Amino acid sequence: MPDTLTFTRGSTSITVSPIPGTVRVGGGHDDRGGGTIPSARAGIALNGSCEIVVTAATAANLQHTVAEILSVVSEVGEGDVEVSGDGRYAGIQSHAALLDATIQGDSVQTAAISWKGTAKARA
Amino acid sequence: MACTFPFNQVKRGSAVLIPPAAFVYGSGSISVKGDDSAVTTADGLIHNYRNAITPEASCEARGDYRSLDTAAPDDAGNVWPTLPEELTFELVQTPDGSPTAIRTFSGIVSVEYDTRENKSTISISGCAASY
Repeated sequence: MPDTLTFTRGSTSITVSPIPGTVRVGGGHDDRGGGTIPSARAGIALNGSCEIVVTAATAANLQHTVAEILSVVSEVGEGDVEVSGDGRYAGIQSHAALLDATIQGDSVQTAAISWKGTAKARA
Repeated sequence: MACTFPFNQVKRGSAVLIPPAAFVYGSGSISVKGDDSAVTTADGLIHNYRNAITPEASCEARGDYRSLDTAAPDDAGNVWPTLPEELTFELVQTPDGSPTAIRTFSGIVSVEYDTRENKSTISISGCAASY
């Protein structure tokens, strides 16, 4: 099983192979109270980020081109991206997420992909 | 949150305003900022929402591109307040290759021309909506 993450937005889906060590998940929960007031976790977030190498052409079973990355970036509206992982990233998932990407570098370009999602798919 | 994408060609309609040959390598960058918010519902789910998108672009190009300045004076020196114009930003990755459309938005173009380096620094502040 390859170590991949899949981002699905509507009918568009891309599968990427993150640069090892760049995948981070967790944080961003909606915590209330604290200090002298008992704290409570009102909402659970499934956020994360990873980096991939941008390629000029579609590789075998991987979609790392600029156009493919652009196709899953969230536009105006509700979060609409589903995230799932395979291989060593099998436990990673997120639903109804807002996804952003930043492409950086001149010769060898990398794309930092981040997502802010929730625990359950929208009904 | 914000997205950043590279570009190396600018068009107005089908006319190429700045071709890749004029771009300073690696200088073209579009930043798209999302006006995001989140609400938590009583079932413990966080719902993320993007209200608007604000695009900005910047690049450097060889030569004098002051004529691209929004509301630049015409030959007679006339100026007039004006709304932004719609521009398309593309990425050409191979010689004579098909460009990848990065984004189209209406923006105010500002140009600073440096005579010492014969180079224009161009910034475009935009709005996701067209009016």
